[in-house]
Amino acid sequence: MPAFQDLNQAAGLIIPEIILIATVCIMFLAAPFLVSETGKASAGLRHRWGVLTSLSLLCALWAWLKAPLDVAAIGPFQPDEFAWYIRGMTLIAGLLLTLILWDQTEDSIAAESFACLLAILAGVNFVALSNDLVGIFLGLEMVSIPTYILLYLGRQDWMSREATIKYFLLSIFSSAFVLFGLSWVFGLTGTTNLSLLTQRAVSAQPGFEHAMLSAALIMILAGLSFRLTAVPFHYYAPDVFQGVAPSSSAMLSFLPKVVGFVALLQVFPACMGVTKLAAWSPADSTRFLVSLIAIITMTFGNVMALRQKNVLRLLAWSSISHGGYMLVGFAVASSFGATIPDAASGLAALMFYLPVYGIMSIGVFALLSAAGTRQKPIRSLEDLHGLSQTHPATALMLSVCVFGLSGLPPTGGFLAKLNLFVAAWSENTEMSRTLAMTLALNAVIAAAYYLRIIGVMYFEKSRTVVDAEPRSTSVLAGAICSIATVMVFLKPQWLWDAAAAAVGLMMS
Amino acid sequence: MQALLFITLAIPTVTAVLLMLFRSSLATANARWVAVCGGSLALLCSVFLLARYHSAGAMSLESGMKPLTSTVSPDSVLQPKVEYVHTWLKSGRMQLDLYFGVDGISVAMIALTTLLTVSAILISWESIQDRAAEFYAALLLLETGLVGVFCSFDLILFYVFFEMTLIPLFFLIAVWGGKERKWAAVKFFLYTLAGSLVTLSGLIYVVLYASVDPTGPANLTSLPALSAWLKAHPIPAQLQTTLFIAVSMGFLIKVPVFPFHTWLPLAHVEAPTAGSIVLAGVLLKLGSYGFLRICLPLFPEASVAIGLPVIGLLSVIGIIYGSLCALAQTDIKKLVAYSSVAHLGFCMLGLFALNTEGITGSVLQMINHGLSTGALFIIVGMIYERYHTREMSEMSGLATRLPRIAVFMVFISMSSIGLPGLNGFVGEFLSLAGMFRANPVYSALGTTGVILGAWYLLTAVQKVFFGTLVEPHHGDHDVDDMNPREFLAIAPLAILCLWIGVKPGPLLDMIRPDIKAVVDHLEKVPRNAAEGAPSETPAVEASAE
Repeated sequence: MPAFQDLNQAAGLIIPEIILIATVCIMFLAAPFLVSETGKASAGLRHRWGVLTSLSLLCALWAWLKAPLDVAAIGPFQPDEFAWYIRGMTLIAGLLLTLILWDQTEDSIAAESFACLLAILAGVNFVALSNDLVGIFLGLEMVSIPTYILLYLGRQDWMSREATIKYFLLSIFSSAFVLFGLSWVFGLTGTTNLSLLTQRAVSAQPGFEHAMLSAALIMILAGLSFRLTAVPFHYYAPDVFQGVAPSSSAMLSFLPKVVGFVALLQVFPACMGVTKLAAWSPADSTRFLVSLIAIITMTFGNVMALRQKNVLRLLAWSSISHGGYMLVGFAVASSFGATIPDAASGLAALMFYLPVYGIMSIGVFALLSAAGTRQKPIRSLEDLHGLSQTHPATALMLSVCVFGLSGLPPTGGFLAKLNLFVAAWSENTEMSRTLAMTLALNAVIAAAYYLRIIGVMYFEKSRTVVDAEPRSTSVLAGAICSIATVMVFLKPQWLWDAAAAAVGLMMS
Repeated sequence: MQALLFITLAIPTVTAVLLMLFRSSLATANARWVAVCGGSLALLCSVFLLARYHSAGAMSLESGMKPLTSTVSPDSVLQPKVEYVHTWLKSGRMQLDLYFGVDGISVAMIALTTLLTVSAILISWESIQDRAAEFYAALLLLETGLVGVFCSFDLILFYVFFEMTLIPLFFLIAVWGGKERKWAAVKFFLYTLAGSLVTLSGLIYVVLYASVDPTGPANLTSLPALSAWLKAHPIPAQLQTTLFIAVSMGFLIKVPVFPFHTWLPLAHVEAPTAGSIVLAGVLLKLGSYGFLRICLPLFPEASVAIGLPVIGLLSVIGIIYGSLCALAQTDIKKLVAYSSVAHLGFCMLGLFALNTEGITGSVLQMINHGLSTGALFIIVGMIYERYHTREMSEMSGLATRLPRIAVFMVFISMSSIGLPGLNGFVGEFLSLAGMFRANPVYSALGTTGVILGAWYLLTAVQKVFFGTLVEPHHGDHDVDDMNPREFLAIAPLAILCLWIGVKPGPLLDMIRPDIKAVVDHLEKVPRNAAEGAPSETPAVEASAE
């Protein structure tokens, strides 16, 4: 039975994801029976689900570590170095997000919340693993649909509802764009398989088909820009970040960006007929467009963040501007790397930036949720007044993460920005130099509002004595993130090597 | 000696981390003891480092051999004698190293840093009661950053430490500062950050310039390797000028040279005494040190072409402008702050004379200004602690009440003014003498700064300490004169002021080879710019008014 054997082999490539999905199934099936009809659950139920989720993630991580790297694509999956890197990143981020959610969620909805998170993680991984346009789209939807539920579960007031609906509508809208673009690609090449697509795209002649392909790519870019929170597709972000629970904001600030860039890096090179990421760089028109979006996103995000009073909105704008920084890496890609093989590459810098940004951003949200209480969560900057007196350890860790986001040494954020800057600067075109200078300029603008967060924590007197309920797992997640932020600065080599390997850059 | 260097760098960090970890369980009294122990240990290590460096140098003079093993190519302009290199991040062609090393200049600057930090801790003993552990932790982290700058020979590492000093000082000003502290801290932070990011862009440009050339150095960010390579392959003049301006930006702001100085008086006035001591004593020198370490070796032609006329001119304006501003102040701390602008002007004037006397004078001036202005801020802090005011109009004749402080004030003022026999004289004289050879007009105009300096400082001393006794309101009991702790904080600085003034020889011997290498490098550049100098004269006078 060759078909069965193929299926068996293909399943062997996605053991971590199978573990996650199996856990999701168990949780969705079992959870309703543990909650009474009035919606009451036995106290402490969330701890059991939390343990189960962590166990499942740890098993997935173990399976990921054991997974072979150099296997050829089987069926719809291609577990290459790129997928390996992304999977590791999402699974570790998943552990941190689980820790935040553990404190935030209520017993009655714990199972569904955790299950949604796991499904989102599996979705991100599928996009990275996929060898097929359909697989990529399914993965993207596997991220979106649980996100709607997760956002809705987090809080039940009108702000949360508004945020969820807004996210839902815009997300569907953007998915439609992506699907439309993908179907054009299919129409032009007659295949959805990425490797076949690569071969056929090479033979595409400049002309009508070429223009159609460009149009399709632009539609895909527009659709995915929603996930990257790139201007002008960013409008939902501040409202949604403000409306939903911090655990969901932490997730939204990171995973959609990962999945957006992964999808871009899967589809774009293939449509240009390039097999190796290291040899790919966007076509001139695309590069111009992406560079423009990057410049606008960085600057607009930072300038808008300057005038925010709500700390969650502020972080939303900061997250938008970070999306802009990452787009710099995507725009630069590796046009320079193609001529000098071991030169700094924009894609490697992007791959380095993603996890560093992830730990800093998740850390900030973890600590914000640790500093607030269920009755009085941290909302405005005023809620943070005097945090250094009421919660000195939390304030210190939060400052580490915030300094990391602003890109100052001694944090990993500095090296991440430095790599992007060097990559953009070394490409040696007018556009890339402009990108690099905009990046540096934005670091100064951004420092102003990051300093405000530090400022209110350290230089203002505490207004109310908030006796926070102990939120140990959020604090733990924050501690891991802030220590990791500093550790990446001290020992960055392994992460760079992994990031460079992920985009197929061979290190000497 | 490598180990000694590491210990000097590690002790403040470890102490700071300990202070933060046991923050809640440490009372103020214990925290300051921990801090002073850590600070003194670092001082001890740096003194050992200095002594061993000096003795090794003396031995090499006798035997004519290279004192310490070094991998630096003899072509390099920078010759660190002690080195430690460890790969930090190799991303493509760009390789960042943890490249620590010391030469004569840096070893002296490190000793100055550790000494001033101990003084700063001692002077904060009583005045800092609120969140003391965090205060000392920030101060010690600042020390780490400063020592780090002075011992890094990798461009990016230099920048990392350069930036790292911002965060602790930001906290020192904003948490423990005066009334306008928040604004002062933010202004200081953003202003210097903006400048240093321009510097970073310039540095990265240089590195990438070297990286495209196949003959480029293997290790692009290593300062000695890069300077040796640029010696053989100079950057084209046009590009060199642009890069010089870009890299200078951060340093000009840090020093601060005349139009970029606006953040300084505010930061000084609002900072707590300890912050002012370290800010004036060491932090400002990061700017002039950066010029000496990066701009002069890497961009020699631009240094001659625009460094000498433009930055020289700005320094002259800074000297006169700073002195006049100091003369107009009624707040004694503001007076000292503006005097810093003027004194750093001498330092930059000497540096951009670009000859041996000038640069030697400039390095001496860096150390002298650290000692004397550090001591002046200590005295201002003592007065403020006793009377809670710094207005000169409210006090007079304090010498009868505070005779010991008055003695030190007079002594330090003499040093700051540049009385022969004290340290200020040696530095200012060498700087001005060097500039006289390069551009007599600048030198002559700069000399007026010495006279103005005497005017404002002596006026201040006379107003505050002599005449009839007028004390500001300060409660019922009489204020005490200087206590042993304060004496311990200021006495070493005063002794060093005297020692450098009387016997600058050992210090000069130690820094001479390093300066000679830079000057040799600069003298290869054709000096046609010097002819253009007299035509600048009307502009100088116009702006000096």
